[in-house]
Amino acid sequence: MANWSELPNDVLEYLTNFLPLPDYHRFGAVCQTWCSIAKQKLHRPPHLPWLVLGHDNATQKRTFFNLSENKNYDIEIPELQGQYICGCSYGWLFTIDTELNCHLLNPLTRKQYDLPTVPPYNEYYKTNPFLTEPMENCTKSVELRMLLVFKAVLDYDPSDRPDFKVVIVYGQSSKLAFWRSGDPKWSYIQGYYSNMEDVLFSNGKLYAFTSLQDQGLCVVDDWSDPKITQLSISIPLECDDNVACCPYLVDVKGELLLVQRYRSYNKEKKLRTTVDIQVHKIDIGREVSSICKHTKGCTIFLGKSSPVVVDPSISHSDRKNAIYFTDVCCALSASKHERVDLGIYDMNTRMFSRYDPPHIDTPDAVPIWFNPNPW
Amino acid sequence: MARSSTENMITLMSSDGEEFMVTEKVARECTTIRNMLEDDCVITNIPLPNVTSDILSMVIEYCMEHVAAAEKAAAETAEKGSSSAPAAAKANKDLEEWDKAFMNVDVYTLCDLILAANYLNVSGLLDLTIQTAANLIKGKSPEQIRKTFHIQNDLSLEEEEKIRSQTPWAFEKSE
Repeated sequence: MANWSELPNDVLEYLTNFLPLPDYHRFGAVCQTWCSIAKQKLHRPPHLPWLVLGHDNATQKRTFFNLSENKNYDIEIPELQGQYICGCSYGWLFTIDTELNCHLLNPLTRKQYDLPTVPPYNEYYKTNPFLTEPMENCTKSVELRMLLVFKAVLDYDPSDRPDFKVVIVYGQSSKLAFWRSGDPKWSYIQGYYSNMEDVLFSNGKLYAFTSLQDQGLCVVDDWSDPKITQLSISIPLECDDNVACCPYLVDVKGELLLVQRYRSYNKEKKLRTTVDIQVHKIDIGREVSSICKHTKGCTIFLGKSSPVVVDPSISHSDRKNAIYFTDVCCALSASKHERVDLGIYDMNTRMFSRYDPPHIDTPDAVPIWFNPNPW
Repeated sequence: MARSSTENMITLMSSDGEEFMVTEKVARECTTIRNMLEDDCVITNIPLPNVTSDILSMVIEYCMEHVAAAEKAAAETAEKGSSSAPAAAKANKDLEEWDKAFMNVDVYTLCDLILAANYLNVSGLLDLTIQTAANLIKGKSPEQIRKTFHIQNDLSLEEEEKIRSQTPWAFEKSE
């Protein structure tokens, strides 16, 4: 009679591809054979991403919400104590501490890169009305670091390629800077381009989108002497005094999309909530954009992190053409400490619904999508 | 759909000596058999020493159902020039329901089906059975997994403790 612990190795290896990461770890604790399969660390879960939530300073545990199980995990990661997370790519978190030092951390392997300090904060402070503390105290300001780096993206997974790059959108005028692994400091990308709202690496090129009307979509492709080149692609925008647009660049199976998330302002509650989502397909070669009614069946996860794109055919998920979004700032609803602007947009039905991570009372942590990168 | 009289029939023989007559089309759903037929096209009798008759009959049942569904879809496309999207969606849904009912088996049969699907290389059946097994694993503790699949715990206490200590969060009981 068949015995589950005696299945051929290739079958068991294949089986582990169908398991989300926590189940993969439990699978490895069942018996000798299954343990030997799990130990090979072949598993790259093509599953739904997790949300990184708040930190408990007493236990040094960070809460992660696993969407596929609708369950949270508290993982001890002392490195994350006091860190503000402002970006995530390939399962690596870009963090800034109160001394304004930057780090890249894989919270599951706890491998870390120390990055140079982002320099222009002195200049930045002078013009920033949001900062409440005087300059002398400001170097350790908690507020400053939340405003200093708006977004951070990686071109490659540092676990695969040691010659990776980090690009940040920094400072009040939201300009671009980059750091190549091993560089002593950040380099600034030349050009008068500012107000960058999103950046994305796609096929080795960096795409950036600015809110300035005469600029729009830009590209950086030569990293020996990086310059921003503007692409003349017009993308319709329907903003007014009450509705702001949050643009996201997304690479879906090699196709570049611009997702516009329209957020309406509630004057009474002083909070913004998402009211509409539009997707534009961008054809770089022909320099045109067109409205797109689907995302090639994929589910897209948007927020402060690099977008996570999940193909349901390999992730064994039922949802197709859906867009999950999460808060872009720290606002919590005053009464219940609920996240205020998270939800799911179904492109087939054009309807919104909610998903429910646990309520965590950490005012300085923005929930961030995180694709577990366990090895 | 009327079967053409010229269609080749193949005899599959299970490990316990039972013979199953199937059309070549059904047999070709098994990549292992398809490769044999392509190497030697006059072959009509194939012994399968790794598959028992009860499991082989289930594999054949699966292949027949999926061949019939594909033929039906192809016939509809040929008739109307293109397949209508709602009809195709319904057919897919029906086949999914059939698969789901087909997977209503005990874990021993499931394990045998996985082995047979792997040996005969029926990719659809392998995915279906593996997905079913994965669903039985999901959300369970190692102890619950062992109980479900009747697996003997051959890890020492020390080994188990070492595995758990590497990712303690994955083993915490949910409140």
